[in-house]
Amino acid sequence: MKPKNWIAALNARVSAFKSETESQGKTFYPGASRIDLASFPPKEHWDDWIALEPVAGTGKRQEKHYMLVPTTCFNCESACGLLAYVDRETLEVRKFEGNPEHAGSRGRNCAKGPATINQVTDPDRILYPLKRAGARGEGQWTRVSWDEVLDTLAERIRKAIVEKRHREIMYHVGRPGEDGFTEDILKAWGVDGHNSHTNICSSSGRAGIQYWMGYDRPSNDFANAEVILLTSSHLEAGHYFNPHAQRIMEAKKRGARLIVVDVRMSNTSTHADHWVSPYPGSEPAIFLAVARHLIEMKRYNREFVRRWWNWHEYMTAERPDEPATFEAFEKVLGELYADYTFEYAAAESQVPVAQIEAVAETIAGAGTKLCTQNWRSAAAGNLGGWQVSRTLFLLNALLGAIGVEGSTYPNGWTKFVGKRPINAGHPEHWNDLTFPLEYPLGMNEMSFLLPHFLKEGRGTLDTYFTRVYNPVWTNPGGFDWVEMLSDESKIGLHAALTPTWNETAYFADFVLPMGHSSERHDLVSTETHNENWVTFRQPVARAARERLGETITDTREVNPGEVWEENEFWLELTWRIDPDGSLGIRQHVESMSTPGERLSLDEYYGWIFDHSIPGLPDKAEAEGVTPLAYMRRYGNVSIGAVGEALYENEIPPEQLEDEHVDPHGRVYTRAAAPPQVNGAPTPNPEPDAEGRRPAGVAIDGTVRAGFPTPSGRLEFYSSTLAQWGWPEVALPTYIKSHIHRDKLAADQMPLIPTFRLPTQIHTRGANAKWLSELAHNNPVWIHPQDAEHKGIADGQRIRVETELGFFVAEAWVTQGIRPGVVACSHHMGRWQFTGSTDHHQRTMETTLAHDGGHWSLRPVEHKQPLAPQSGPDAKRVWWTAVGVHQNLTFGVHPDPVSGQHCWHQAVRVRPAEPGDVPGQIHVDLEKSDAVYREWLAMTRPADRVSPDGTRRPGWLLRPLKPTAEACKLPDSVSS
Amino acid sequence: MSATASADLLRLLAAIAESPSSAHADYARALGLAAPATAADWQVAHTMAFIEQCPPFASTMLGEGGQIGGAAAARVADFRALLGAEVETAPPDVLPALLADYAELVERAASDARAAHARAAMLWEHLLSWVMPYLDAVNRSAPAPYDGWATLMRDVLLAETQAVAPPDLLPLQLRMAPPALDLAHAESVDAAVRALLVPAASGIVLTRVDLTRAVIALEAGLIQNSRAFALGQLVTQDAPATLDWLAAEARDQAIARMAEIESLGVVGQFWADRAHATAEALDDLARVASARRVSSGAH
Ligand code: SF4
Repeated sequence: MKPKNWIAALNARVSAFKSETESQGKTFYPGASRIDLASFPPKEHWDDWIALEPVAGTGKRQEKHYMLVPTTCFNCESACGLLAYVDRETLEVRKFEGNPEHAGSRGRNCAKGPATINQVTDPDRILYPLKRAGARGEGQWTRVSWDEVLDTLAERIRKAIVEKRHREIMYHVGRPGEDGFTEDILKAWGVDGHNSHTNICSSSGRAGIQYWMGYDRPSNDFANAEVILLTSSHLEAGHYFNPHAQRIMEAKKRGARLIVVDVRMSNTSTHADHWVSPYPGSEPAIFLAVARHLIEMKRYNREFVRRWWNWHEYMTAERPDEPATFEAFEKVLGELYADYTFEYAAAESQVPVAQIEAVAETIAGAGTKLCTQNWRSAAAGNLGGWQVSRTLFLLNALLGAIGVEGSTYPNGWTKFVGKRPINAGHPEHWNDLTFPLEYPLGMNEMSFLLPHFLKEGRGTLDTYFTRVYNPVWTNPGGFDWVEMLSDESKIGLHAALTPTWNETAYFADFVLPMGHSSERHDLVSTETHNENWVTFRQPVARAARERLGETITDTREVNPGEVWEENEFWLELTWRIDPDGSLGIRQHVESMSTPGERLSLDEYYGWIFDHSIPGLPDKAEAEGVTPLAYMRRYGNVSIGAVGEALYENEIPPEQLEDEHVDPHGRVYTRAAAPPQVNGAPTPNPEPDAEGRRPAGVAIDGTVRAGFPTPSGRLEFYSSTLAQWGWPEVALPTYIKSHIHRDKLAADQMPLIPTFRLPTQIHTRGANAKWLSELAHNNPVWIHPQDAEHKGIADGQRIRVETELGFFVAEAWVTQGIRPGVVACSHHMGRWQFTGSTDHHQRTMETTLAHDGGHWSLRPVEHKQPLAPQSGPDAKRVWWTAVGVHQNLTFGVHPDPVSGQHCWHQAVRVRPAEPGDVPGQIHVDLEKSDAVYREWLAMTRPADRVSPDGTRRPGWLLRPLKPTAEACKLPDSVSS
Repeated sequence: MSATASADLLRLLAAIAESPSSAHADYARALGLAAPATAADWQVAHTMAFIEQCPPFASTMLGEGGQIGGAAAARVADFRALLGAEVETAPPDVLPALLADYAELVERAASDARAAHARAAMLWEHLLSWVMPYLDAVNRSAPAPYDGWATLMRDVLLAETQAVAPPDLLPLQLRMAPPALDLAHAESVDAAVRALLVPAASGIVLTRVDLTRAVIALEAGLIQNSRAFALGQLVTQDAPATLDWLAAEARDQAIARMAEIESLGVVGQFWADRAHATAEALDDLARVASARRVSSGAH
């Protein structure tokens, strides 16, 4: 039995213990540490974290000592933080977990983050630079030295530059993963050779936003929203989905409503209060019906619309007979959208009226806390898809839900890009192969048309880099790419910079092994929420060794084999292109502290961290380390919350020297622009006729910062679209998709090929065994009604016929897709040729054959998908499917405005024929040419529509901005 | 009135239940608990106590599925948020954090009537509503020092009931608890087993150590898997004996809960009633299973 006063005695003992502890200068109770089951190793233990690990076969555990080194995931654009667990004995990375110090991801990752360890330890990795032996595509390679690679490339590039063949150098990027570095290198070379994948990805999503507010990406304050409207499956996929998903769930827990517009049932729609499943392409009709409801019921934010929309410009330009007053505009606004009734939207979308009405009411109740998101999805699928994001953003613009708490922000506010030490001017020429005349409003490079352009004789490439990009597999019409890459008269030298084998690398001359997220440097910031932060990707073995006192100057010293990182590669290549500095290139990559030596990455990043990231030097000083050491230790730094409604900021009088105000209130000045701390991509609206720069916009007598659009306001009416040949779509409107019901034959149905598998990583998923185990097939989703009508059973082999040919897949009969539509996911159907030497990846072994323009790919029958032949994993690969590479059968569909490839397909679905095997493909490239020409004919080229003799509106974003002279229409067409 | 724990004593009881640090040996010394010898031993003991045997979350005891999170955790989160606690970064209902908040309220209660009110609410609504059967389970299943810690916690909290009388009305957490078990109508063995592992429904806690005891008593094979799977396998192997064992275990736990009624009032009655009902239902099932076996001639 306890003594009577036991608690008092215990209290006294604890009190004595507290005194003793505090007398030693220690904290008695540091507060709830949150080091509980779901938390993270506290950062003060990162140098020596002890974990207990099982000792194989003994049933016992032993202590393992780790150094925890932060880096940044490279498996999607979210740039979440990772913590590498580096074994202190061997200095090998044993696993990856989340970095709790990362402001965006806050220690949480999706499955792809920790699976980085699979990629790092992948037995199929390319560890050494390889050079083609034999003909291109034969699959024969010899190992070469980096010196040979660098000298070969440098000599070719130097020669092209000296001979003024700048256009023949091209860098084609899939996963960028860093802010600005490679663009800076290309600028140093004076080459307009940047080619991105964006036009098969997010160009339309961006265009619809850019025409409204200048910035081309939405940034979402999901955590504080009342109503969240996703036109996507954003809880599981899409840009920044992991940081976003956690904030969406927080908002939901608070009571926010979630509306998901998605044809298909996804893991996102299952969390929605309203899941709206429209006929694909009809999304704008729904959004416009909601807009009409807000307008008709006078539930829009009238004062916001009056102050911030460019209605005055619209009335003046398009309604010259009516007074240019707000009241007159409001009347016109009602008339413009009068036809978009709920009934009309229901007829177009096949969504019940009552559901559209309920959604409209929910949105109407959001006030300024409406947060909307669209990135790819419907915008990327449909002709006119850019109007999906433009009509979606109309709802924000009507409610004033822009750049305020709980709303949609411009990404230029929430993404932070610091100044960099490599700072060359922009190129003096314009690359027609990326920005051709036919697409003056193309948001990004017309990358996926490259094979067609070269086939038409528009040019050739001397040196072509693909970088973490696999166009043969990713782009529509992959056989056109195979044909182009195989032809040495079109592509002089192809260097594939890739961390893993891929279908495109087979057609390279050099295959250059690049690092995964724990083997490379990058500096990244993404618009995850209402806060600026930057994150540092770093070779963790290098950082670990440096913590132990070693000096590492070249990442190859610590990476596996001779895996390099691109930034050191580009610096070294640039150095060798101009060894004596006579081309004016070398100086851009010369050390600032030791002239005559090449810039090192420590110096490069050290400079940025010392000069360009506000608050970082102070934080580092507080810990007694340099800013570079701080970033190597924690991997991420927050610059702080972003202010609200920055467009309302008043412009001080000293910035308004020689002020000029145009009739619509755009204010121009001769005062120099104030220095910009944040260099996130922001458009530069053009100066006035006298050369004054746009400084703001006059609203009720005060000059305010406004938006980086030509008018300085939110552009309900886009004068750019109107003046560059597209007046009929200058307002938010509904463009009927190429797969609209009216355009399909009776036996055709739309195929949705855009959605992603949440646990896959484009090309690189096949090298992550855990991810392959989670998702390894892409059957065609088909509704039971359609399946019954076509006589197709669940799991049955089917043929899906597209414009170019057909693919064979398995059917998945499910109510998760709306009737009349079929769907097949991206990410699957990886292949390699019979006869190639490596047999480990989870890909199918195929024969590739062609007879003239008739190409076919056929999995080798009776062969399991390739899997490890030996070792423990040989027994663990239980799955046999790898899916189908449907993109090979798609023709190119460039939207004539945004340039985006419109992914959705009109297809016929029927049971497979005897002998058909899943994964089998057949394509007729003549049809591919015809589809290209059909879509090209929809364009309105710059030489016909340019209002000012230039190739493209100067204010639109572009990765490299050629000089004014280069932007002019070429003499051959302008005269 | 007898003494109650000081805020610092409560804090130390919270701290020692967190992930082991170099200070843990000192905490154990101050609390008079046996301390593991090395840092690795501390880690083993902590992992065994709070990961393998008894996850320290209100929701695992009170929630509908006996799992972490859900409405029970949200109620704790809402309450702690009202107190001004930062509940974003961790599961909000983890015991050390609740104890730390409670310690704060104890400290403030002397001079602040609102804090005194919140202390009572915290104690009955979010601690005593679940912690007694939980601590009993830790005491049965965890190695030193956490078995002793559980006893100490139990004594300290029972002393609190002298200072803060039980409520007349059942705490909301228990009013919103899942309904009592209905084993007789369970759809399958799996469903019955899953339901038994929801403490607020069954009134009992079955840890892995408890199941190991069952395996030894029944002379069955040890199954290393989830508790639901292991228990399901035991029932499949020998339903009458397993159900008998479970009924006896539920009865023992019901007796332990009944002994607490004097201090815990309606809260103690709730747990005792549920455990008792579970024991009865298991008895019935065991009888039916035995009868079936006899009629089928199986041995
Ligand atoms: S969302 Fe997943 S894949 Fe993307 S960066 Fe984060 S952890 Fe990596």
